[in-house]
Amino acid sequence: MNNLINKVRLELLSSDPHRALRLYLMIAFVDLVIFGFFGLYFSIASLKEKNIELKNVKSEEELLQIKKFKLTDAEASLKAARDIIPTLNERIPDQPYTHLFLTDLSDKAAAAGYTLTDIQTYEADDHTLQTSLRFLGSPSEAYKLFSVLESTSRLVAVSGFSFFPADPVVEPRIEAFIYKVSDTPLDLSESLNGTIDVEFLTEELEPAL
Amino acid sequence: MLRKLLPKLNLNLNPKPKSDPGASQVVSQDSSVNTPNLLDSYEPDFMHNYNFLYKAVNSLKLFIIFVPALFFISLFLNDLTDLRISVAKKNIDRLNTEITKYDKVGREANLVIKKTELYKQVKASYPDISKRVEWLMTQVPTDTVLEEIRYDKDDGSVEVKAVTSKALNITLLIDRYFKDDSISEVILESTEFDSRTQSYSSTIEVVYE
Repeated sequence: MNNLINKVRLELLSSDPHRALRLYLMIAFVDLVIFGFFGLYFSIASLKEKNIELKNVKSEEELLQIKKFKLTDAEASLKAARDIIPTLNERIPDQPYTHLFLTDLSDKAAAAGYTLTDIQTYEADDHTLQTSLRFLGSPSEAYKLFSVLESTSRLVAVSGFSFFPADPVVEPRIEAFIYKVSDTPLDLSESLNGTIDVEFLTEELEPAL
Repeated sequence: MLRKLLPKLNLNLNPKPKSDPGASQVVSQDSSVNTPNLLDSYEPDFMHNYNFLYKAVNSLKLFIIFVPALFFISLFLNDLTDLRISVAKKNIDRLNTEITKYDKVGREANLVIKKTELYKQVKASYPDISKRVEWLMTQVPTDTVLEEIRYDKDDGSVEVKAVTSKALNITLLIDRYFKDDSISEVILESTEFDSRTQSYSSTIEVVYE
C-alpha cells in the first residue's frame, strides 16, 4: 500500500509537478476556509469572550474569599470581646432610651446633691441626640456634674456649659450629646466595613466592668 | 526512467553560456566533446523546477496540517476555559452558601464596628472636660469669686469671669491656671474696675492644647 502511494506520489510529481502543486494549493485553500476562517476565527473569538468571563468570575471568587475571611476573623474577634460588648451596647444602644438615661442621670445627680430640673432632647442626626440639662444645686461645685455625666452608663459628650458659681439662683446648664446606633441588616453582597478593634474596646471599657 | 529521459535530450551544437540561470534549457554537449556517458551532459529541465515544487508542496503539506492543528488546539483551550469557569462558579456557590451561615455574625460584627468607630470619633472630638473644669474652679484665690464659667465646643476654650478686690489676684489666678499642662494659652480679654464696688472684673479665656 505504501509502495503504491509512494509510486503515485512520484508519478504525480514526476509526471506533472504543477498539477501536484495545484492540487495541494486547492486542498490548502479548502483547509484554510474551513479550519481557518470558519473554525479558528470563531473559536478564537469565543476564547476571548470566555477569558473575560473567567476573569470576572475569578475576581468575584476572590472577593468572596476575602469576605469569608473577614467574617471568620470577625467571629473570632466577637468571641474575644464577648465580655466587653454588652458594656459597649449600654454606652451606645441601638435605640435612644432617653428615659433610661434620664432616670440614671437623675439618680446619680441626686447622689451628688443636684436635682435635674429641665431636660430637652432632640435628634441631631441618625446617631446623635442633643440634650440640654439644667440642675438645681450648689453652683460653686457644679464641676461635679461632669463626673455625674461620665458615671452614667451612656457615652456622653459635653458640647457646652455655663455656670454662675456666685449666683445660686441661676441653674447650671450643660449641653451634651448621647448616641445610638441602630442595627441594620448586613448586605451580604458587600464586605464588612472594617475589623473589630478589640484592643481599643478592652482599653476603654474594661475598667467599667 | 532512462527511456523517458532520452527523448528530452537536446543535442545543441551552440550551448548557451552558464551565466544564464533562468533559462530552463537543456545544456547541450559541445560537438567537439564527445563523451560516452549521456548523463554527464544531460541536465533534465524539470530537476531545477522539481526542487522548488517539492519544497512548495512540502510547505503546503505543513500548512494543511498546521491550520487544523491550531483549530484543535483552540478547541482544547476553549474546553479548558469552560472547565475553569465551571470550577470557579462552583466555588462561588460554595462560598455564598458558607457566607450566608455568617449572617448573624456579620450583623453583630458590623454593629460593633460602627459603634466602635463612633466611640473613637467622640473620644477624639470631645476631650474629658470634668478634670479641666474642676481645676479651673478650684484654683481661685481667696477674695476672688468666679462669676461665670462658660464653655462652647465650637470655640474649644473656656471663658472665666472673675471678680476680685485686688488686681494681684487676677495675675495669681492666671498663674495657677498655667500649672495645668493641658492649657496652652491664658488670655486676659478684659479687666474693668468698678468704682462703686471697688472691685476688678476680668474676663479670662483659657485655651487647651
